[in-house]
Amino acid sequence: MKNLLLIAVLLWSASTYAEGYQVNLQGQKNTAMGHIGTAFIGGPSILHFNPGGMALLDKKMSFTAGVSLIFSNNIYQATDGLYQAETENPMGTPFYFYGVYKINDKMAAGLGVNTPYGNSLAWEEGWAGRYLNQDIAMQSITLQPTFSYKVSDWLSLGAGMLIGINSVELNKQIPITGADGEASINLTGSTNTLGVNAGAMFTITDQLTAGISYRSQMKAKVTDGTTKINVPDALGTYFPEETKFKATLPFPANYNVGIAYQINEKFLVSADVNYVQWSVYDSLNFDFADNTARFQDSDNPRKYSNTYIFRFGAEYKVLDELTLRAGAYYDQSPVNDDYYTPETPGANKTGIAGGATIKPIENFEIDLSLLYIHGEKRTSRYLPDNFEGTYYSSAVIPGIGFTYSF
Amino acid sequence: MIKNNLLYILVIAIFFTGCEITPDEFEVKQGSADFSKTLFIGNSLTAGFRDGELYRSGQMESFPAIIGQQLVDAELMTHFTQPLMPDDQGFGGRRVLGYSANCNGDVGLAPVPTSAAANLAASSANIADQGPFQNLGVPGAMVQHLLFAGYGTSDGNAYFARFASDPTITILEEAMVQDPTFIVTWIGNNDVLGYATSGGANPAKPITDAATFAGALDLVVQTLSANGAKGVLCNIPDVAATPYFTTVPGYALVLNAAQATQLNAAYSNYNQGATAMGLDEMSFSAGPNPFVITDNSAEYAALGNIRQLKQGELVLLTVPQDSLTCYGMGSASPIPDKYVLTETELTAIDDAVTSFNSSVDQVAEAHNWAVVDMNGFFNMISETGLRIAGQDLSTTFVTGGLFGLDGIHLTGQGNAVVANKIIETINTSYGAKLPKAIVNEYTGVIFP
Repeated sequence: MKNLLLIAVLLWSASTYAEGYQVNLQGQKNTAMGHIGTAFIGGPSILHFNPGGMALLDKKMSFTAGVSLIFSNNIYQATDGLYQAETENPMGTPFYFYGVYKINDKMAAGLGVNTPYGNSLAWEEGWAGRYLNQDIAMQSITLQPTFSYKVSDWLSLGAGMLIGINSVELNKQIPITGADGEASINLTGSTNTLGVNAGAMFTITDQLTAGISYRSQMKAKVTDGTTKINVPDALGTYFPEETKFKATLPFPANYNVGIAYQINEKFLVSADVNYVQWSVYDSLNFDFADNTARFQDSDNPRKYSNTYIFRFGAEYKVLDELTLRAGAYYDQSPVNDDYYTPETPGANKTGIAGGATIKPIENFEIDLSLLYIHGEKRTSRYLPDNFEGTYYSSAVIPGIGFTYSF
Repeated sequence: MIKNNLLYILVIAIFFTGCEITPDEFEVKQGSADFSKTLFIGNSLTAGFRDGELYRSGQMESFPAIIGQQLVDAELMTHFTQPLMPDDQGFGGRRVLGYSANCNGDVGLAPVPTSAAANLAASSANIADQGPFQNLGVPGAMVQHLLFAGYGTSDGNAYFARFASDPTITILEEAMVQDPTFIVTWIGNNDVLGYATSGGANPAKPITDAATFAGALDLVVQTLSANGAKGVLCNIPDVAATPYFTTVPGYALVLNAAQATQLNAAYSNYNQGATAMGLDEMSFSAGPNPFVITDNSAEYAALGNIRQLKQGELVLLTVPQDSLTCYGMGSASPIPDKYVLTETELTAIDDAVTSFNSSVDQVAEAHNWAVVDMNGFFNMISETGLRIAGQDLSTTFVTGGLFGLDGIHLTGQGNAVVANKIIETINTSYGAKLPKAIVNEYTGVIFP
């Protein structure tokens, strides 16, 4: 298990595909349906989407694992000139694993490992916004031991603990030039977080289910991060070469409601609304252990707003061996127009998804998804730094997963 | 199988086209101007003079080069050519930031000469055959020099002589033979700067007479605009906004109690005389005090032409720091006149700038050109500074980023800021939409 996790850590690097730094690719069946899942039981991924539904899985044991490949692209365009810059984002590979054991008719226990938060972005070297951000890689792996109990025919409850293992690396340039080029600052830190994921599933009729779920806010507090500063020799006395920093990045709470309707044996539709409490991200403050007259603590307003995500998806069972899926969503940007930084280039995003499940043998499924995300063009600025531009973003995300249950 | 292949191709296709973003294009507009042959006329600022010298990499970041690049990128002009120096040493005056020790042995950062030697022959060689040049900025040029036949000889100006197509041609004629459609002119700074940088003490460098200035400027713009060419005329910034005049503090004679007592005693005779004449006494106390300076006005003749610096008076960057630190200049002996701008001199400079700038307004209006208010712009910068893309820029020497190591001329970033200001004025005045430059693509001061 330890080795597996290590490999996972090495593999994992996310990218911007959902708003802010939340990653919404937590199950290929769900992703193919616009990432609905609060009321849709698509196998063990329910553990993430709504722990309340876990006791409703009908197999004794179910396992699913999957990975998505994020190919994303961001473009910055100067507002009043011909200048453009692009990101050279590394391919993101968020993954998930969920295993659920049905203890008896009423009870189920499970474990999830997934990557619900992350951000990985690299602007081209020497770009115009390098004093705001050159690149960022934020990673978060969440373990979720979960228990679910079917209270009655119509109600099932569940809850899990979120244990986050988080790390971040951030690079930017400092507007001072030496003989060897520009000064720069590198920040690295890691921390663990704890939170709760809880939900309830309502079986209203044989065809109609509804669900609510809640994932709590977590605060990633880095208390002994490392700051490395590279400045020309002549200014060495004004900047510490290395110093510790403290900073807190909040992971927002999610409130989800969903509904799923089985129109007939073959055809199901589902819709979700997520309310994401992004307003917790008011500022990103770095408290450095060593300050000098020229190197002070850095308070950076972010002023995020709460957002809604609207999701809709459908699945159609063509054959026992083949199910097709499609979905779409609209994801609001939490980023304020005056506090828009190129470190998390947000935009209202529309996602269009499709996918299929192929069942070559009994108990085994191959889940495929393909998601295209279009970010609305937006002209915004980061007021404290007087940096304005028009941003464009898009991503294509193919994904594959395997589900085994018996 | 075929079906599968098709699906495969479709997936791959979506995949690669999906990642492609086609941003909206910046919509360039000429407005009522024609930029197909844009020329720049001026002095050292236009030439790209920097850090005490005209040198190649500095010229590449001149504001004409920056605007020229924007015009070429916007496809409003096919090429832009400057009379580039052969290397980065030029005639040898270039300073770089380095370490230097003062009289006490304290080592600090300071502008120092470059270690590389100048190649005077190569720098002096005439390169007119590489022209015509669109940047006609000539270091040292005043307004009348634009009309001066012979300015391109070795007796005239070495910087013009190296690219003049004929020794007797004037700078204005170099412009006119190119039949320009648009001209950016920034001239007149030297008509007051020569006086200011010599502390008002050099009789060979007077402030240009206001009527001469107005007449010459009008003739220049009248000639340039005769065929209907449009242009902008940049006005003259207040010299007090440049680090050459603002870096050395005037109230920086730091004394202990014993030194103060000593000086008060030494100047007691002076103070008796001053009181008798109704002039201010000199007075010293522990802590920072105003320097003792030379004032060559008649008022102080009977007092040996010395007094203490008054609030608002300026000590120039060229003042020998070691003399101040170790050898009693500014206390036991006065700072010489050439290193100081007194109230009277500052008033003369102010009056000249005001008068020249009103001529700039009148001339521009008479010939239907627009004025770039550099004076207002630099005053704004010296008051509030600029913050651009996370970088603070100010008029502070060295660390401000805008001014180079001579304290008067701009860095690449300073030139980019000026280029954008000119573009902004052109856009508003001519209904154009020219693209602006990215300031941090250009260099500032390089630290060792």
